[in-house]
Amino acid sequence: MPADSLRRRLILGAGLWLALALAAGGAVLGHAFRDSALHGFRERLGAHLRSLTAAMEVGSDGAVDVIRPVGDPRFEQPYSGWYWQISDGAEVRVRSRSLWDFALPVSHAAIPGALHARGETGPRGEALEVVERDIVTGDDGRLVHVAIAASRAEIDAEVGRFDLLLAVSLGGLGLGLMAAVALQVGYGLRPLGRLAGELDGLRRRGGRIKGDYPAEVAPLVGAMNEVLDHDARLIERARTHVGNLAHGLKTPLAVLEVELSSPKPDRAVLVEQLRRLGRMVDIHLGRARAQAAPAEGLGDRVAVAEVAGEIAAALRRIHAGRGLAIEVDCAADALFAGSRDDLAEILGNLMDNACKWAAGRVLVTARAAVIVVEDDGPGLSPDQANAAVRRGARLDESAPGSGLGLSIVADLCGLLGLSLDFSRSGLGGLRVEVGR
Amino acid sequence: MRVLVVEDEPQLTLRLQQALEAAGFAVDTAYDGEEGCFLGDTESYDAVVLDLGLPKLDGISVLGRWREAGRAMPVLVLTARGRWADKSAAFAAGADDYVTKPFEMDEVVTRIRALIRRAAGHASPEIVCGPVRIDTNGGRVAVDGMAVALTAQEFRILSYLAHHQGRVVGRGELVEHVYDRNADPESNVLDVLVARIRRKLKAEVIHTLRGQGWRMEPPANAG
Repeated sequence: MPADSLRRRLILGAGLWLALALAAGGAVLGHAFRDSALHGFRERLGAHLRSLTAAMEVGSDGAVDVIRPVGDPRFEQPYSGWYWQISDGAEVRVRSRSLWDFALPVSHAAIPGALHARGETGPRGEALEVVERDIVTGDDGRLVHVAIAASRAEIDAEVGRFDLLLAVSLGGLGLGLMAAVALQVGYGLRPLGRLAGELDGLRRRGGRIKGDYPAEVAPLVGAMNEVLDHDARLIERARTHVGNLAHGLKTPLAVLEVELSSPKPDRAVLVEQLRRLGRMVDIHLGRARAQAAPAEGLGDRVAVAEVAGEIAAALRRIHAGRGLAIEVDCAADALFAGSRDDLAEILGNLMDNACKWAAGRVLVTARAAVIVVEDDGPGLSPDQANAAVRRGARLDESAPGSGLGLSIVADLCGLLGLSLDFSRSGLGGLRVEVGR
Repeated sequence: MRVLVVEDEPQLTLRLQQALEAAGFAVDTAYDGEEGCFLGDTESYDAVVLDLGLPKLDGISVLGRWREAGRAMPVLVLTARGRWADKSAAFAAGADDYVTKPFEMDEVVTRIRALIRRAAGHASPEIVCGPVRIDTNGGRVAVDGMAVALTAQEFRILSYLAHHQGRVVGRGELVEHVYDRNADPESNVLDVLVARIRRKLKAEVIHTLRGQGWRMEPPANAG
């Protein structure tokens, strides 16, 4: 399993919670069992205490005696762990044989007659559970203290056995649950494995992802198929363009070859064909950029004022000798939905075209999603501009002068879903409006 | 007038050099960004032709370093990168003009001339000094309407003095701007050339200021 995988994350996550839940459950059960065992043990000791009290006789002189065995033979075996003792204040009056000469420390219960349980250390240093009570004897209100004690080893062994059984059971349950989790995760992630296999297959054979996928994965598959379709369209367009370019280049190349093989090549023909080649490369480069661009700038928002300002600064230098007034009036909220490069390409071509034709003034305005570039030159009429765009689209590279820039802008606008309108400007020249 | 060409394609560099020399410029060449940056920093040029895609140091960085160091010579960027994003980046870095490849040699020469003229404060391609008219685009000189034949070096000297007329041009400055960096002219060569230009022009427009250099101005202003 890789260092970071969904399967690993899910199994580790489930394992962590399972371990915590089982540990908490084990602790609660263990505690409950220990409580129950101790309670039962004290009940037994209480029964022995009652039996001892019943067997106890107090003489008229205050002497205390136990007239019959208390029940459990272990009270008779020295240091057996089972003891009883009857005392009067600090003096032990009578005790079980098992205590031999050892005296259990006495703790007087707060209320005479009430049972009191506590821990104590026995003659051999063993932990004892003691149940005791004070009893009023005779009419003089004298108290005797009756105590029954037994080694806790018995309940400790019982609790230990239960804890072991509990640990084994919960461990087994945990392992079983982890195996179930692993199976469930594997089953749940199987569609992703199938998807990876499909994608691997796509690398070799192409096409799209097929088959039904669960509701959680289906949108991902849909989105991947959209990207694959988009790529396929781009590749198809690229192939078409490469084909067009190759065919388009062949004619001027043939002319060049023929001309160069003649004894006296005509320089004008060579220059003309080279220009034709250059123009063709420009057209295809521009179109390739335009078509590649929309995928790059999805979701971008670019301030028109900033880019228009940069391009205006560049154009003022390019046309420095002409004294052109290039004005940019863009609202702060005028934002372009695309990449910065797309906007630079659209504005650059439109503003450059306007500068070429302007008599003295170029104006760029932008409000919200609408950008307008206009000039005061005789320039292109709206019809001529539309024709220039069509020329670019038809790749009629014999047309001299402008048109290429407008055709690139038209391509970009088409791909970005923007409108492109030509009209007569109030300044006198061409007005180009780009909008949503 | 002295021009630096920074371009990594040797054949293109050679053609640019030939075309610019034929147009009357002294030309230095550099084939990578570091060499170009060094030359632009240490030599005096009237204009630079700069490619953007250069080995070692790209053209935008070279331009940026020159401008940071206060080197103000006009720079024509000559590159295959035709996107407006690239163009505005080049202008933001301090370019004065931008020509995309493929290009026509005449266009580059014309634009270099225009850049040099504008940098010297002349808007028109024709520079006039009294009876002398210098057509910077055509490389022609006329006195009182009569054409005068000058050699390439003579034209370079006259053109530099005319671009900076009214100001004293020292011997060192003139050498820096009319010879390429490999040339090592003898001390009196400039005197001989200036004297020859004076003879050909037959007009008192170039004045020698002993120990300082030369100043070009119309005859009426001579002092």
